[in-house]
Amino acid sequence: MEWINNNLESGKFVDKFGKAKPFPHIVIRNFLNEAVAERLLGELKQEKFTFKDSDLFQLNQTDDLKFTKSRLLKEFYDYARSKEFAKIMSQITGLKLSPGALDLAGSLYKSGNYLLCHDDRVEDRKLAYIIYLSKGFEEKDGARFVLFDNKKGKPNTEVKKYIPEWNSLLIFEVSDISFHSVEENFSDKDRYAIGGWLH
Amino acid sequence: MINSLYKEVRVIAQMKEALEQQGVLLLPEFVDEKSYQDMLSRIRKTKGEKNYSPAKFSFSELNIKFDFLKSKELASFVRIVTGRQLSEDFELMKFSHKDFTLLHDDFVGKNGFDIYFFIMENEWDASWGGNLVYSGKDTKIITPQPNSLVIVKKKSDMQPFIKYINNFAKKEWIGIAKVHF
Repeated sequence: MEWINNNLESGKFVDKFGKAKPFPHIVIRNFLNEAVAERLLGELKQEKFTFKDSDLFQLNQTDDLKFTKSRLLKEFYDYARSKEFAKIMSQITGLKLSPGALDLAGSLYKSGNYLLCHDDRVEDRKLAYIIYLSKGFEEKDGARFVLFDNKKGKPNTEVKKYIPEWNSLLIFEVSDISFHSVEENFSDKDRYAIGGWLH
Repeated sequence: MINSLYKEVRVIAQMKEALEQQGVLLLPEFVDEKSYQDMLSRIRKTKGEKNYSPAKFSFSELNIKFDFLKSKELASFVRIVTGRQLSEDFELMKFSHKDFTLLHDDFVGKNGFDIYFFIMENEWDASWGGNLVYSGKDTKIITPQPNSLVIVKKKSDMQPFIKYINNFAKKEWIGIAKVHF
Protein backbone atom coordinates (compact mmCIF):
# COMPACT_ATOMS: atom_id res chain seq x y z
CA MET A 1 0.00 0.00 0.00
CA GLU A 2 1.33 3.43 -0.94
CA TRP A 3 0.25 5.36 2.11
CA ILE A 4 2.12 8.57 1.64
CA ASN A 5 1.99 10.90 -1.31
CA ASN A 6 5.07 9.98 -3.32
CA ASN A 7 5.76 13.63 -4.13
CA LEU A 8 6.65 14.24 -0.51
CA GLU A 9 10.27 15.34 -0.27
CA SER A 10 10.71 14.70 3.41
CA GLY A 11 14.30 15.96 3.48
CA LYS A 12 13.40 19.57 2.75
CA PHE A 13 11.40 20.18 5.93
CA VAL A 14 14.01 19.76 8.66
CA ASP A 15 15.13 23.37 8.79
CA LYS A 16 11.59 24.74 8.76
CA PHE A 17 10.52 22.29 11.48
CA GLY A 18 13.41 23.02 13.81
CA LYS A 19 13.19 26.80 13.52
CA ALA A 20 9.41 27.03 13.84
CA LYS A 21 8.07 29.18 16.67
CA PRO A 22 6.87 28.97 19.39
CA PHE A 23 8.23 25.40 19.34
CA PRO A 24 9.30 23.00 16.57
CA HIS A 25 6.36 22.02 14.40
CA ILE A 26 5.29 21.81 10.77
CA VAL A 27 2.16 21.37 8.67
CA ILE A 28 2.50 19.32 5.47
CA ARG A 29 -0.37 19.41 2.99
CA ASN A 30 -1.49 16.50 0.80
CA PHE A 31 0.34 14.09 3.08
CA LEU A 32 -1.42 10.82 2.31
CA ASN A 33 -2.20 9.32 -1.05
CA GLU A 34 -5.54 11.00 -1.78
CA ALA A 35 -7.51 7.81 -2.44
CA VAL A 36 -6.14 6.28 0.76
CA ALA A 37 -7.15 9.34 2.77
CA GLU A 38 -10.73 9.04 1.51
CA ARG A 39 -10.84 5.36 2.41
CA LEU A 40 -9.39 6.01 5.84
CA LEU A 41 -12.07 8.58 6.55
CA GLY A 42 -14.74 6.14 5.41
CA GLU A 43 -13.43 3.47 7.78
CA LEU A 44 -12.94 5.93 10.62
CA LYS A 45 -16.56 6.99 10.45
CA GLN A 46 -17.55 3.37 11.06
CA GLU A 47 -15.49 3.13 14.25
CA LYS A 48 -17.04 3.45 17.68
CA PHE A 49 -16.24 6.84 19.21
CA THR A 50 -16.49 7.31 22.96
CA PHE A 51 -17.42 10.71 24.37
CA LYS A 52 -14.70 12.04 26.67
CA ASP A 53 -15.50 14.80 29.10
CA SER A 54 -13.30 16.37 31.75
CA ASP A 55 -12.16 19.79 32.97
CA LEU A 56 -9.68 19.90 30.06
CA PHE A 57 -11.70 18.58 27.13
CA GLN A 58 -14.89 17.52 25.51
CA LEU A 59 -14.39 15.34 22.45
CA ASN A 60 -14.97 11.90 20.97
CA GLN A 61 -12.27 9.30 20.56
CA THR A 62 -11.88 5.76 19.25
CA ASP A 63 -10.06 3.07 21.15
CA ASP A 64 -6.39 2.62 20.34
CA LEU A 65 -6.40 1.55 16.70
CA LYS A 66 -4.38 -1.55 17.52
CA PHE A 67 -7.73 -2.99 18.60
CA THR A 68 -9.68 -2.00 15.50
CA LYS A 69 -11.59 -4.60 13.51
CA SER A 70 -11.25 -2.54 10.31
CA ARG A 71 -8.70 -4.14 8.03
CA LEU A 72 -7.64 -0.80 6.53
CA LEU A 73 -7.26 0.94 9.87
CA LYS A 74 -5.27 -2.02 11.19
CA GLU A 75 -2.99 -1.81 8.15
CA PHE A 76 -2.57 1.90 8.81
CA TYR A 77 -1.77 1.19 12.44
CA ASP A 78 0.88 -1.32 11.33
CA TYR A 79 2.30 1.30 8.98
CA ALA A 80 2.33 3.98 11.70
CA ARG A 81 4.41 1.70 13.93
CA SER A 82 6.78 0.66 11.16
CA LYS A 83 10.44 1.54 10.70
CA GLU A 84 9.52 3.20 7.40
CA PHE A 85 7.12 5.65 9.08
CA ALA A 86 9.57 6.44 11.88
CA LYS A 87 12.27 7.04 9.25
CA ILE A 88 10.08 9.48 7.30
CA MET A 89 9.22 11.36 10.49
CA SER A 90 12.91 11.46 11.39
CA GLN A 91 13.74 12.85 7.96
CA ILE A 92 11.09 15.55 8.29
CA THR A 93 12.02 16.59 11.82
CA GLY A 94 15.68 15.72 12.24
CA LEU A 95 14.75 13.93 15.47
CA LYS A 96 15.91 10.43 16.31
CA LEU A 97 12.66 8.46 16.52
CA SER A 98 11.92 4.83 17.27
CA PRO A 99 9.29 2.81 15.43
CA GLY A 100 6.15 1.94 17.40
CA ALA A 101 2.83 3.78 17.43
CA LEU A 102 1.91 5.14 20.84
CA ASP A 103 -1.79 5.60 21.49
CA LEU A 104 -2.85 5.91 17.85
CA ALA A 105 -6.53 6.81 17.80
CA GLY A 106 -9.19 8.60 15.84
CA SER A 107 -10.62 11.83 17.22
CA LEU A 108 -13.87 13.56 16.43
CA TYR A 109 -14.71 17.08 17.55
CA LYS A 110 -18.37 17.80 17.08
CA SER A 111 -20.06 21.16 17.52
CA GLY A 112 -19.08 22.66 20.89
CA ASN A 113 -16.21 20.21 21.47
CA TYR A 114 -12.72 21.45 22.43
CA LEU A 115 -9.40 20.61 24.08
CA LEU A 116 -7.93 23.26 26.37
CA CYS A 117 -4.26 24.18 26.77
CA HIS A 118 -1.78 21.43 27.71
CA ASP A 119 1.70 20.20 26.67
CA ASP A 120 1.18 16.47 25.81
CA ARG A 121 4.09 15.43 28.04
CA VAL A 122 3.44 11.83 29.05
CA GLU A 123 6.04 9.07 29.47
CA ASP A 124 8.52 9.08 26.57
CA ARG A 125 6.53 10.84 23.89
CA LYS A 126 8.90 12.73 21.56
CA LEU A 127 6.78 13.68 18.57
CA ALA A 128 3.04 14.17 18.16
CA TYR A 129 1.41 13.78 14.77
CA ILE A 130 -2.10 14.43 13.59
CA ILE A 131 -3.51 13.67 10.15
CA TYR A 132 -6.62 15.73 9.51
CA LEU A 133 -9.44 14.01 7.70
CA SER A 134 -11.78 16.97 7.96
CA LYS A 135 -13.42 18.74 5.09
CA GLY A 136 -14.57 22.28 4.51
CA PHE A 137 -13.31 23.96 7.69
CA GLU A 138 -12.74 27.72 7.52
CA GLU A 139 -11.48 30.18 10.09
CA LYS A 140 -14.99 31.09 11.24
CA ASP A 141 -15.70 27.43 12.06
CA GLY A 142 -13.12 27.33 14.88
CA ALA A 143 -11.68 23.89 15.67
CA ARG A 144 -8.21 25.15 14.83
CA PHE A 145 -5.01 23.74 16.32
CA VAL A 146 -3.61 26.52 18.51
CA LEU A 147 0.01 26.96 19.62
CA PHE A 148 0.95 29.05 22.67
CA ASP A 149 4.18 30.79 23.43
CA ASN A 150 5.48 30.63 26.97
CA LYS A 151 6.62 32.95 29.72
CA LYS A 152 8.99 31.42 32.25
CA GLY A 153 7.89 27.98 31.14
CA LYS A 154 4.14 28.62 31.53
CA PRO A 155 1.78 28.98 28.54
CA ASN A 156 1.22 32.63 27.75
CA THR A 157 -0.62 33.72 24.59
CA GLU A 158 -2.01 32.11 21.45
CA VAL A 159 0.50 32.79 18.67
CA LYS A 160 -0.49 30.48 15.81
CA LYS A 161 -3.67 28.76 14.70
CA TYR A 162 -4.00 26.12 11.98
CA ILE A 163 -7.24 25.25 10.27
CA PRO A 164 -7.67 21.43 10.10
CA GLU A 165 -7.23 21.10 6.34
CA TRP A 166 -8.17 17.92 4.56
CA ASN A 167 -5.26 15.42 4.30
CA SER A 168 -2.74 17.61 6.06
CA LEU A 169 -0.24 16.37 8.61
CA LEU A 170 0.63 18.47 11.64
CA ILE A 171 3.56 17.34 13.74
CA PHE A 172 5.26 18.94 16.72
CA GLU A 173 8.04 18.10 19.12
CA VAL A 174 6.71 17.24 22.58
CA SER A 175 8.56 19.22 25.24
CA ASP A 176 8.00 21.22 28.39
CA ILE A 177 6.97 24.18 26.23
CA SER A 178 4.82 22.46 23.58
CA PHE A 179 1.65 24.15 24.84
CA HIS A 180 -1.29 23.74 22.48
CA SER A 181 -5.04 23.38 22.34
CA VAL A 182 -7.87 22.60 19.96
CA GLU A 183 -10.17 25.58 19.60
CA GLU A 184 -13.86 24.93 20.16
CA ASN A 185 -15.67 23.72 17.06
CA PHE A 186 -18.14 26.54 16.40
CA SER A 187 -19.63 24.84 13.34
CA ASP A 188 -21.93 21.93 12.67
CA LYS A 189 -19.18 20.14 10.73
CA ASP A 190 -17.49 17.05 12.15
CA ARG A 191 -13.73 17.40 12.65
CA TYR A 192 -12.12 13.98 12.13
CA ALA A 193 -8.44 13.19 12.59
CA ILE A 194 -6.10 10.29 13.33
CA GLY A 195 -3.23 11.01 15.67
CA GLY A 196 -0.58 9.47 17.83
CA TRP A 197 2.92 9.86 19.16
CA LEU A 198 6.38 8.55 18.41
CA HIS A 199 9.10 8.04 21.01
CA MET B 1 -32.64 39.99 52.12
CA ILE B 2 -32.46 36.24 52.76
CA ASN B 3 -35.67 34.42 51.88
CA SER B 4 -37.60 33.98 55.14
CA LEU B 5 -38.20 30.31 54.29
CA TYR B 6 -34.53 29.62 55.07
CA LYS B 7 -34.95 31.04 58.57
CA GLU B 8 -37.66 28.60 59.57
CA VAL B 9 -36.53 26.17 62.28
CA ARG B 10 -37.80 23.13 60.40
CA VAL B 11 -36.03 24.16 57.20
CA ILE B 12 -32.78 24.94 59.03
CA ALA B 13 -32.80 21.42 60.46
CA GLN B 14 -33.37 19.98 56.98
CA MET B 15 -30.55 22.05 55.50
CA LYS B 16 -28.07 20.99 58.18
CA GLU B 17 -28.97 17.35 57.71
CA ALA B 18 -28.76 17.57 53.90
CA LEU B 19 -25.34 19.22 54.08
CA GLU B 20 -24.07 16.59 56.47
CA GLN B 21 -25.47 13.65 54.46
CA GLN B 22 -24.88 14.77 50.90
CA GLY B 23 -22.12 17.32 51.30
CA VAL B 24 -23.91 19.83 49.05
CA LEU B 25 -26.74 22.24 49.61
CA LEU B 26 -28.40 24.21 46.81
CA LEU B 27 -30.80 26.94 47.94
CA PRO B 28 -32.83 28.56 45.14
CA GLU B 29 -34.54 31.99 45.46
CA PHE B 30 -32.04 32.78 48.17
CA VAL B 31 -32.52 36.56 48.44
CA ASP B 32 -35.58 38.72 47.85
CA GLU B 33 -36.24 39.74 44.28
CA LYS B 34 -35.46 43.45 44.67
CA SER B 35 -32.08 42.79 46.26
CA TYR B 36 -31.26 40.27 43.56
CA GLN B 37 -32.24 42.63 40.73
CA ASP B 38 -30.05 45.36 42.26
CA MET B 39 -27.04 43.01 42.28
CA LEU B 40 -27.83 41.84 38.76
CA SER B 41 -28.04 45.41 37.54
CA ARG B 42 -24.64 46.29 38.99
CA ILE B 43 -22.98 43.28 37.38
CA ARG B 44 -24.65 44.09 34.04
CA LYS B 45 -22.98 47.52 34.08
CA THR B 46 -19.53 46.23 35.05
CA LYS B 47 -17.10 44.99 32.43
CA GLY B 48 -14.60 43.39 34.75
CA GLU B 49 -10.88 42.71 34.42
CA LYS B 50 -9.92 39.69 32.33
CA ASN B 51 -7.98 37.03 34.21
CA TYR B 52 -6.48 34.52 31.79
CA SER B 53 -3.88 31.86 32.33
CA PRO B 54 -4.30 29.31 29.50
CA ALA B 55 -3.56 26.21 31.55
CA LYS B 56 -5.45 27.36 34.65
CA PHE B 57 -8.43 29.69 34.15
CA SER B 58 -10.25 32.33 32.14
CA PHE B 59 -12.84 34.66 33.66
CA SER B 60 -13.49 38.34 34.39
CA GLU B 61 -12.83 39.61 37.87
CA LEU B 62 -15.51 42.05 39.07
CA ASN B 63 -14.50 44.83 41.36
CA ILE B 64 -17.91 45.26 43.00
CA LYS B 65 -18.68 45.22 46.71
CA PHE B 66 -22.05 43.80 47.59
CA ASP B 67 -23.10 44.72 51.15
CA PHE B 68 -25.09 41.50 51.32
CA LEU B 69 -21.96 39.36 51.02
CA LYS B 70 -20.39 41.10 54.04
CA SER B 71 -23.62 41.32 56.01
CA LYS B 72 -24.19 40.01 59.53
CA GLU B 73 -27.34 38.36 58.18
CA LEU B 74 -25.38 36.17 55.75
CA ALA B 75 -22.60 35.44 58.27
CA SER B 76 -25.19 34.39 60.85
CA PHE B 77 -26.97 32.15 58.35
CA VAL B 78 -23.72 30.46 57.36
CA ARG B 79 -22.73 29.92 60.99
CA ILE B 80 -26.10 28.32 61.77
CA VAL B 81 -25.99 25.95 58.81
CA THR B 82 -22.28 25.04 58.77
CA GLY B 83 -21.30 25.55 62.40
CA ARG B 84 -18.40 27.73 61.24
CA GLN B 85 -17.76 31.44 61.25
CA LEU B 86 -17.55 33.10 57.85
CA SER B 87 -14.75 35.62 58.05
CA GLU B 88 -13.19 35.73 54.58
CA ASP B 89 -14.30 37.99 51.74
CA PHE B 90 -16.07 36.72 48.69
CA GLU B 91 -14.36 36.82 45.30
CA LEU B 92 -16.70 38.02 42.52
CA MET B 93 -16.22 36.64 38.99
CA LYS B 94 -18.08 36.61 35.70
CA PHE B 95 -17.96 33.66 33.30
CA SER B 96 -19.12 33.76 29.68
CA HIS B 97 -18.33 32.02 26.38
CA LYS B 98 -14.76 30.57 26.37
CA ASP B 99 -14.31 30.99 30.14
CA PHE B 100 -13.38 28.09 32.42
CA THR B 101 -11.26 26.97 35.34
CA LEU B 102 -9.09 23.82 35.29
CA LEU B 103 -7.97 21.41 37.96
CA HIS B 104 -4.45 22.42 38.93
CA ASP B 105 -1.97 21.60 41.66
CA ASP B 106 -1.86 25.31 42.58
CA PHE B 107 -5.47 25.06 43.67
CA VAL B 108 -5.25 21.91 45.79
CA GLY B 109 -7.34 22.89 48.77
CA LYS B 110 -8.01 21.87 52.28
CA ASN B 111 -11.06 20.68 54.10
CA GLY B 112 -13.70 23.26 54.86
CA PHE B 113 -16.64 24.84 53.11
CA ASP B 114 -17.01 26.48 49.71
CA ILE B 115 -19.90 28.88 49.24
CA TYR B 116 -21.13 30.15 45.89
CA PHE B 117 -23.80 32.69 45.14
CA PHE B 118 -24.97 32.70 41.52
CA ILE B 119 -26.15 35.92 39.89
CA MET B 120 -27.31 35.62 36.27
CA GLU B 121 -29.95 36.93 33.89
CA ASN B 122 -31.69 33.73 32.86
CA GLU B 123 -31.91 30.03 33.55
CA TRP B 124 -28.79 28.18 32.48
CA ASP B 125 -28.67 25.14 30.20
CA ALA B 126 -26.19 22.52 31.41
CA SER B 127 -25.27 21.67 27.81
CA TRP B 128 -23.64 25.12 27.52
CA GLY B 129 -20.91 24.16 29.99
CA GLY B 130 -20.43 26.50 32.97
CA ASN B 131 -21.28 23.77 35.46
CA LEU B 132 -19.53 23.73 38.81
CA VAL B 133 -17.92 20.31 39.13
CA TYR B 134 -16.28 18.80 42.17
CA SER B 135 -14.08 15.89 41.14
CA GLY B 136 -13.04 13.30 43.67
CA LYS B 137 -14.31 9.97 44.96
CA ASP B 138 -17.91 11.15 44.44
CA THR B 139 -18.16 13.64 41.61
CA LYS B 140 -20.68 16.41 42.18
CA ILE B 141 -22.03 18.49 39.30
CA ILE B 142 -23.98 21.68 40.02
CA THR B 143 -25.71 23.63 37.26
CA PRO B 144 -25.83 27.34 38.17
CA GLN B 145 -29.28 28.74 38.88
CA PRO B 146 -30.15 32.43 39.19
CA ASN B 147 -30.32 33.72 42.79
CA SER B 148 -29.13 30.47 44.31
CA LEU B 149 -26.69 29.84 47.14
CA VAL B 150 -24.61 26.66 47.08
CA ILE B 151 -22.72 25.36 50.10
CA VAL B 152 -20.25 22.52 49.57
CA LYS B 153 -18.70 20.65 52.47
CA LYS B 154 -15.28 20.21 50.98
CA LYS B 155 -12.97 17.31 51.70
CA SER B 156 -9.33 17.49 50.66
CA ASP B 157 -9.77 14.99 47.81
CA MET B 158 -12.48 17.16 46.23
CA GLN B 159 -11.29 19.73 43.70
CA PRO B 160 -13.65 22.12 41.93
CA PHE B 161 -13.60 23.47 38.43
CA ILE B 162 -15.97 25.44 36.21
CA LYS B 163 -16.61 23.65 32.92
CA TYR B 164 -15.64 25.54 29.76
CA ILE B 165 -18.58 27.59 28.43
CA ASN B 166 -19.25 26.81 24.76
CA ASN B 167 -20.76 28.88 21.94
CA PHE B 168 -24.28 27.60 22.59
CA ALA B 169 -24.40 29.95 25.59
CA LYS B 170 -24.23 32.84 23.12
CA LYS B 171 -24.22 36.05 25.21
CA GLU B 172 -25.41 34.51 28.49
CA TRP B 173 -23.08 34.80 31.48
CA ILE B 174 -22.78 33.61 35.07
CA GLY B 175 -21.85 35.90 37.95
CA ILE B 176 -20.28 33.90 40.78
CA ALA B 177 -19.48 35.13 44.28
CA LYS B 178 -17.22 32.53 45.88
CA VAL B 179 -15.56 32.02 49.24
CA HIS B 180 -13.69 29.17 50.94
CA PHE B 181 -13.42 28.98 54.72
